[in-house]
Amino acid sequence: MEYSIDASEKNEEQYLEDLKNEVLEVLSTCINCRFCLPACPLFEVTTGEVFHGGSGITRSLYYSLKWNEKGKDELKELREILYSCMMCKACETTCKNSSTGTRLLTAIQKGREILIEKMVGPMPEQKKVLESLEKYGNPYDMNKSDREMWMKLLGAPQKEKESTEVLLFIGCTAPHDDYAGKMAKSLVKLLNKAKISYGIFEDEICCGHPALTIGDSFIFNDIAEKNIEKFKKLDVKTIVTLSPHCFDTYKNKYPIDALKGIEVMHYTQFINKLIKEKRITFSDRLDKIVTYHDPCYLGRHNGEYTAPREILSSIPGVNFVEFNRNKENALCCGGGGGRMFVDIETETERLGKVRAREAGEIGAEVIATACPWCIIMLTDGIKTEGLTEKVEAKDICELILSAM
Amino acid sequence: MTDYKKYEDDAVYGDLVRLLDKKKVTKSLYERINNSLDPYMAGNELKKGEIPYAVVRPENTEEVSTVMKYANEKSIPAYVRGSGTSLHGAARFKEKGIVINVRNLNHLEIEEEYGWAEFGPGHRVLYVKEALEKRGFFLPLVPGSIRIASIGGIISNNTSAHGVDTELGKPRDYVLGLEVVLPTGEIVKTGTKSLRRIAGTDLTQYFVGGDGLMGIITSIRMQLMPMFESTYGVAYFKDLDSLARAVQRIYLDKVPPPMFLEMLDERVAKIAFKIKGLQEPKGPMIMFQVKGRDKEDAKKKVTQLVECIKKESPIEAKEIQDMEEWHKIWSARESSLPYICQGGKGVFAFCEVVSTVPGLVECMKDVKNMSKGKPTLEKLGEPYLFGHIGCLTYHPCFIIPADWSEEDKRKAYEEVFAKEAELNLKYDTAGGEWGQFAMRGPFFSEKWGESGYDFVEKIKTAVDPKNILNPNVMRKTVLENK
Repeated sequence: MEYSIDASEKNEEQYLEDLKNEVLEVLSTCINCRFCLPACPLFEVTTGEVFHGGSGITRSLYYSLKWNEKGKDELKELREILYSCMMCKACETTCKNSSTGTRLLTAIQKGREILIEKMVGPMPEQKKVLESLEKYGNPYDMNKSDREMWMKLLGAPQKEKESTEVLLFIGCTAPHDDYAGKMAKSLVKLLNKAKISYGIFEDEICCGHPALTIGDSFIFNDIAEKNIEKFKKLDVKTIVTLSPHCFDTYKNKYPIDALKGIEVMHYTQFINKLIKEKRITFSDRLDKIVTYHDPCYLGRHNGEYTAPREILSSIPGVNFVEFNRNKENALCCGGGGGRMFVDIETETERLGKVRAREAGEIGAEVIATACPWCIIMLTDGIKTEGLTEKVEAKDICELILSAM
Repeated sequence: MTDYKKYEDDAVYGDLVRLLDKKKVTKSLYERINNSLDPYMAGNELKKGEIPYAVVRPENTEEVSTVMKYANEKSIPAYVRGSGTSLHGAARFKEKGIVINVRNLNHLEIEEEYGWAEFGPGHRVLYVKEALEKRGFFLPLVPGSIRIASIGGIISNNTSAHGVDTELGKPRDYVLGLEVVLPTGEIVKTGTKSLRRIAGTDLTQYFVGGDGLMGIITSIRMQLMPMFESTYGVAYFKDLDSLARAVQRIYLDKVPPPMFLEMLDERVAKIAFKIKGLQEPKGPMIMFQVKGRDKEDAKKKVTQLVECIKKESPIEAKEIQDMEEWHKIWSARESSLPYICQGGKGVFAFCEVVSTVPGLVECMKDVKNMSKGKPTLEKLGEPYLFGHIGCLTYHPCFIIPADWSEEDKRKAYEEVFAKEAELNLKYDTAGGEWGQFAMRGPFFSEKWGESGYDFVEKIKTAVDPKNILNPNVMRKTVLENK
């Protein structure tokens, strides 16, 4: 899903035509085998519609484009279908393993771009996200000074040109949400405690991920340019992200040349390395039964299943159990693909609740994860499922800190 | 072809909403599109406007009956769908009509004391399989599409895919009774609650393997099969002839047949093994799973099989004890089709050529040469070859480039099915997986004669006088260019 930065230079009509042809070409290998349907998280939290799942969503898009659907109701319906996707990549992974290897997510992503070009997308709630990204550089309508204040109070050193090569990229969710905020604070504390050299941007702006997944390539492009310029100016050599979404964006979605020479890591990879080098050590125990929820953008999108598990196993006292659905088969929390910002009517259940129940079934006391959105969805799922007495959601950095 | 009265979409939708709860009926454009598609038919795209009036999702037998009574009264075609994974268009919407999606017919009761389980047709096979395994039973339904295929279609087709018929039997051997809605809307309950099978006329048998022509199955009662012990084996050969001879020998030497016995030709095996991180296969190969009452029984059987296969001088034949190795080999087989698709950057066209035991070696050659004399297939060369050779089935597979025109793709499919018919007629066989109509009308007439075809048509007319249930599944052309 490489982003083409010259998109803005094309004329609008040609741009739309190119997008359409790209989608039709990508989808020409889909054979409607439907293997991807049961892999889709939506398939188990809806009432039986088959326009879900990678093939359901993309066949809807395919015929809408082929038939040049212009009806208001039909386009609105297509919008709901395309934006229901969490981009968890379960469909595409299944397709690669069991069918023709169609790049379903690319088609969905481009389909969203088409809807935005046609002024049909995104979902109304997501429009506010895009406006906020343009206005404040974050998706949460958080004004710049509030965010900077939050970042100042985090207790992390400011990244200066000469100070360090490592940029810790906090992302937008932590300053906005208490659970994710706790996660960022834990990471900062543990890095400080271990005396690791790093810095943050107090005036950090979004990586652009929400704009990209929602389908606004122009906003994404604009954000990307600003970030790239800053990375170069402040001589960033390594970016360590709190969120797997930022990690994926810098690693895979920014133009390759622009970030040449910069290593992009998720914090679990960075910390795991530090643990192995014995620069982070444990002095306490965590006597708990812990499972790990794979964030989609760390796991399926980037194949990182090992680092988080190695960290958990290295914490003294942790009794690690796997979810029945884990790694490549892990169930999404429901927060990806722009879905943090919108509810879809056809859903009858929340994935966070399903995951909470699954944790209960395997006897886990803690669901560890490594993503600000996952921690929010899982915490919410545990609460609404009434399981707060039995299981809690914790980010890996919180668990590390409590055993240091 | 029956001429059906045409209605406005909204009129039919309005009627259905009055008959069923609104949430069980949809006129969503995209839900109607998705309920009109199935795999394989890449050469037969939907045309604008050619979508059903509405899709209904009934939750019980009575609601199915209500819809069918309405459809019959108005002479509106009804198409029944579960997951829509039929590989030859059996569940495909063709005439303007109503699609009945049975996904929400999903009850499941396991009655261990009686020795059977009863379930709805809308369940995915894997879901029921896992539910039964938790209670110590095996579900003898083994389609390649186990993750997504729904049970109603498996029973309507009486399909057995991997399962070796002489060992595992067919689904019909396990079905004790059904609940069925006839095309005219009446409800019929067949079979008994006993494990004792009915002699003489057993209504169940009109519907199991009935190609979905005679009624809509809304509930299935199936005998429970206790879980067993398994052993596994693999053999590599210097050529396909000796591979086929080894399988012949299993039948002729009266050794216990395996439950599954699959083959990959060398080209397919090399691709699949490489992706699975296995050592390069030494040649074309077979893999097999054997079931036994206990470990000792299963071990004894696999040893007998390996010894039998060795008589045909394979490069290697052995039992596999390392389960990780077995899983890798089995998943290489399972994923072989997508892997060759991905390599070839196209969509697949394949069919089932079934052999007799004596014909197995010659049939293999015929299958490898099947593109000869077929102008479109000749452009694609020799087919990739894999299959359920233990149950005498070859799946020759062509990869059609994704950028071929719809017309060329369609021609390729036609030629594949024409050749399948030719070879199955030569060996006096018929497909054991995909049902006998849909793409196979011409074959049916050739194989069992016009009188055979008329016989089925007469029964269909008696049961479905207005020809509304899955019409056009019985048709005399391979593909319809709609």
